[in-house]
Amino acid sequence: MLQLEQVELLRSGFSLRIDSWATHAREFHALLGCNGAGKSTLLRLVAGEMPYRGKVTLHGQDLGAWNSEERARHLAVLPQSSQLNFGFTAEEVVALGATPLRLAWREQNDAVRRVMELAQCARLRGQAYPRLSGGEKQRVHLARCLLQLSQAERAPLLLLDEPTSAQDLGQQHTLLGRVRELCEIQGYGVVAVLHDLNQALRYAHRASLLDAGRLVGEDSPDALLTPERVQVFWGYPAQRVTNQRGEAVLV
Amino acid sequence: MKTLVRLPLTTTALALAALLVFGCLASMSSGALSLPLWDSLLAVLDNILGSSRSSLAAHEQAVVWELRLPRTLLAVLVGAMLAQCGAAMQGLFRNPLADPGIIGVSSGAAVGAVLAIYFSPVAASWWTVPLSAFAAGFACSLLIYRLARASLGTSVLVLLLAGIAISALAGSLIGLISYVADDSRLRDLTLWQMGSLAAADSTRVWLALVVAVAIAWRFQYRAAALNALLLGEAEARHLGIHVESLKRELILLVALGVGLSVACAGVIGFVGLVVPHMVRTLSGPDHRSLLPLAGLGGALLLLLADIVSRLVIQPAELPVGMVTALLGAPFFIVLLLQQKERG
Repeated sequence: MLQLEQVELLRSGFSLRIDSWATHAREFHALLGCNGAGKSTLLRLVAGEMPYRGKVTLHGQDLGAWNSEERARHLAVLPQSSQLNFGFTAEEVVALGATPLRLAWREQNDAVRRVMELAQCARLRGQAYPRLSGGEKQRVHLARCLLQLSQAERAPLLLLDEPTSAQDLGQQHTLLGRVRELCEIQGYGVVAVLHDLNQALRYAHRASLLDAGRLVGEDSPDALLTPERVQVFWGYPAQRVTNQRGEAVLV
Repeated sequence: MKTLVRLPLTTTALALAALLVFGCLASMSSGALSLPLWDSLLAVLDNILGSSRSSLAAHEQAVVWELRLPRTLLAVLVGAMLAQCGAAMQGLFRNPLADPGIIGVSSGAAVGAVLAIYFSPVAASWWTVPLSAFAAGFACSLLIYRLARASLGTSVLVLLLAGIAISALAGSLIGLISYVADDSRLRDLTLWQMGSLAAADSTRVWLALVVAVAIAWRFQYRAAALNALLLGEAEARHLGIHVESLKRELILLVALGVGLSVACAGVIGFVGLVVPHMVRTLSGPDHRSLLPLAGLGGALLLLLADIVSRLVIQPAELPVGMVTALLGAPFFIVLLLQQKERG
């Protein structure tokens, strides 16, 4: 669904060059690498926030050629955190996801309720957004993104930029579990910048490894995250063990 | 965890509208010459319909029709424009403490007016002052917008800093002219900077009406986009908003609205800063309801301030800009305290 060919970032001070890279519907694709590798930059480039040379296509159509509202209905971004500090209710924040949609008032209310249930934040509906915890806020924004993508005619793409950075362990797993379900059940494509390699091992179907603005590896997380690579790219002597559920874990 | 408590939108809108109608009637009948409320209203109808139902004397009818009606309407329109522009700027800057003058339009207009008061003959000042104020205010905000524009779009931070710098420059220019001005001009300068609706006439009212309706319509059209902008510029872009054109339009509308308000009534502070904030506290930050309610609230506050300014030291008048703060500030503090108690 998303394809990059000979893409080069046009910004001084940082060089990002991707020869060829793609991600597909029903795929949770993790972007991995140490700090400054270019993961978030690549994500922002795909989100349309950075000027680039080359070809980025979403469903075969050049990203820049999409009508902005139509693109918003197919591509949403869940940020690390939000700057929103006005006294909206959680429900009103979710409803902001309807900006590129054409929904009647009643339809919008139903849709908001539905996505809040999907993102497991229905009980927060009438509560003041600024007073929610980091994890609750993130679930509210996930619901907002789901609403934004709810009228996509083709498989929607959800981009996540370190989505669990402000959350405790339980919240992190709830959120990523939800996102993986969206891929598998609803057919979403997901690209997520992740710092925790074990999260990638557990939730991602596929992973790409970046280093100094170049793509240096792409495979299933299990095949990609060998102790040798972790040593080379993160400088950490990790060991791989298998937990009681039979899943690989880096320690 | 607490659920947010807000006043229902319809109730708030109806209450504000009813208070505004009542305020308009009070404004028509009160002043140095106190007139019966009902007869003042009939005098207006008589002038429109050509009837003779009012029992007011001819000179009293003239007071109502030529002085109080334009003044009342101008207060409503200027108050509404200032409050709506304030709400829009607070949305653009994602900061509830932003003032409509933040993009330099009030300080620019003040310089324009002060220059006109100082240099133009007194006889011509009825048109040179507002025209020069409007032109300078508009030019100043365009200059600030140009300063903040970069290759990747307009930086809100640079916009804010450029606004502060230009306002400081304007302040020192006004200080310089005040220093060299003679006593009578100095009084004019000072009073102009405190705002007054005494110069209201039909030209000003018609101009204000056209601009107020135009900006209210455009603001309402952009309200949903302004809501999205509160999430941040990148997030608004992801939601399909053309952020750059939104910012440009908002700045132009505010320059127009505040520029004209300042040209018609001098510098009136507080309305644009506090009314949107009050309305947000009462009925939430959604711009689709905030903008019209702020319009009603701004109109009401300026109208009440104008009535008070006419009544306090009769037959003289207090500058209305002083009274807006005098009336609004205590109410605002009560709201803040209530908010604090609610946690």
